[in-house]
Amino acid sequence: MAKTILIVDDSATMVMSVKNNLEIAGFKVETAEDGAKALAKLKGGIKPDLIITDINMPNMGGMELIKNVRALPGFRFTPILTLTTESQADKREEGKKLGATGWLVKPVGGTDLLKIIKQVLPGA
Amino acid sequence: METILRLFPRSGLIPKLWAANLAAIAIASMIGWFCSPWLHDTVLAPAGVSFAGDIAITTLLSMLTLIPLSLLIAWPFAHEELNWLRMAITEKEHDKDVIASKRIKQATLLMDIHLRLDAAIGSQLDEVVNDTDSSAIALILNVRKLHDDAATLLDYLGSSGSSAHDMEKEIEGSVASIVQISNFVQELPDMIREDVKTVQMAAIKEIDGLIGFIEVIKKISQQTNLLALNAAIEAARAGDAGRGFAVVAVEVRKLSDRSAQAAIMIEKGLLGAQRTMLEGLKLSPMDKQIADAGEIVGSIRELQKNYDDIRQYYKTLFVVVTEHNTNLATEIAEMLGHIQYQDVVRQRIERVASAMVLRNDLLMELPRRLGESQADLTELPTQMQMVLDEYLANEARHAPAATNVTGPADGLPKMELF
Repeated sequence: MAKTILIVDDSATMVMSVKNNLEIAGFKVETAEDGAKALAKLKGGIKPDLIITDINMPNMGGMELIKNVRALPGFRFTPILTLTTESQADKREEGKKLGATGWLVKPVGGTDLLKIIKQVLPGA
Repeated sequence: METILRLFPRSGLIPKLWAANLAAIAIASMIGWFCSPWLHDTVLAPAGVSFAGDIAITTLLSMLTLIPLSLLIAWPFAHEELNWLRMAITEKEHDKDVIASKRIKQATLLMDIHLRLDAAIGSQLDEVVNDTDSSAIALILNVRKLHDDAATLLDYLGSSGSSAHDMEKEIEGSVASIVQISNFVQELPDMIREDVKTVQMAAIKEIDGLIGFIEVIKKISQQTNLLALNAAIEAARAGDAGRGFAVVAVEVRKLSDRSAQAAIMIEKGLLGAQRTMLEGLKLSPMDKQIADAGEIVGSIRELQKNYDDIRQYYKTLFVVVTEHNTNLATEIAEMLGHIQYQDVVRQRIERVASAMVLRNDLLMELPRRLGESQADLTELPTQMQMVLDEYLANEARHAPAATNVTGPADGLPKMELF
């Protein structure tokens, strides 16, 4: 059965780019345009196998989303990858402390993204 | 002196002061001239002042007299000049205010135009971002369609390959059946040749027997004919009494003739059959059919080989197309990754726009503060420097957009798993 991935980004281009890349690779994809909407989806019953989130977003940013997701029952060990233009070490450290699984700096090549997804989702 | 001359460019006060001063010196000299003997006699000498002291005191007093005299003589001229100077200074202050006001207005106008220019540039940049956004999404959709079409083509080829395989299997099965039949056909003549010969020989024998039987029929017919002839002769002799018998004799004769003709015809047919049988045995007609069957089998085997080639061609084609499709999928994935640059560039433009807003807020402070009487501009450069530092720091937090597709950003890995 195809694994489900939730993409959270306020950029339509980013969402479309990553979504199509993942769908072509055989994943089922859900999308949300900010952290608040993503959180609402998760609370609404969507159970993705992986979350890929931007950091700088309106309403709720990526850091806050990670923090909230980790507090949700059943999402303690769900892998969360950030996909952002932020690159600095202190931001990465902050993400790591909040519970992010990995840090990806935009733009990420399609094959590189799939490789890293296969690392965090064995058998995908 | 130059400063003084600048202060009084038109008044002519300086020469007047010089003249007043000279007049004062002259008056003071005259006072000294006339008053010094009196002073000596009445004050200094009785006081025991020496000659040198006398001279010094007299000179000092002359000089002291000179100052008020100079001022006194210069006053009428200086008064007018000072009035003029005061007016000039007031006028200059007024001009200064007017000029400052004008400059503030010009600065405000300049800032207004600057802001409008920034707004126009910002609007253009927004449009560029929106356009690139739309184009990027259209590109993604087109790329996706390309992939879907390629996948459909692959499925179609897979299906065609499968169909070709199935068809080839069916043909192979049919060919096997046909070959089996062909082999049977090939062997059948050998198997039946002897039987046919036996049957033919039996038929010839039977025909021979029948031909003999025909001879008997012919003899019977001849005898019947003779009998009928005799009966007709006898009937003629009997006259009217034998007339009925004569009719029967005629009919019997006709019957005899017809029997003879039938016997001849049967004999002819049987002889023809016999000849055909004999010729058939000589010609061995199965040989040609066997040759034809052999050709058919050869054609069928050729067809089978052709289908094997077609199937192999399909297999190769499918493998090649699958490989190309895999490469295409990889390229599409990479292309989708590159499209992310649009978002990276959009964010850079947004950061530039934010910095421009902060800069403009500070620049707008400049004409406002220039209008104030106690304008303090010292903090503006500091604040502008802070805007610059913040912008640069913000940029430094983000990866450079155009240079690192796979390489590290700022020495840190582009992709990092914790």
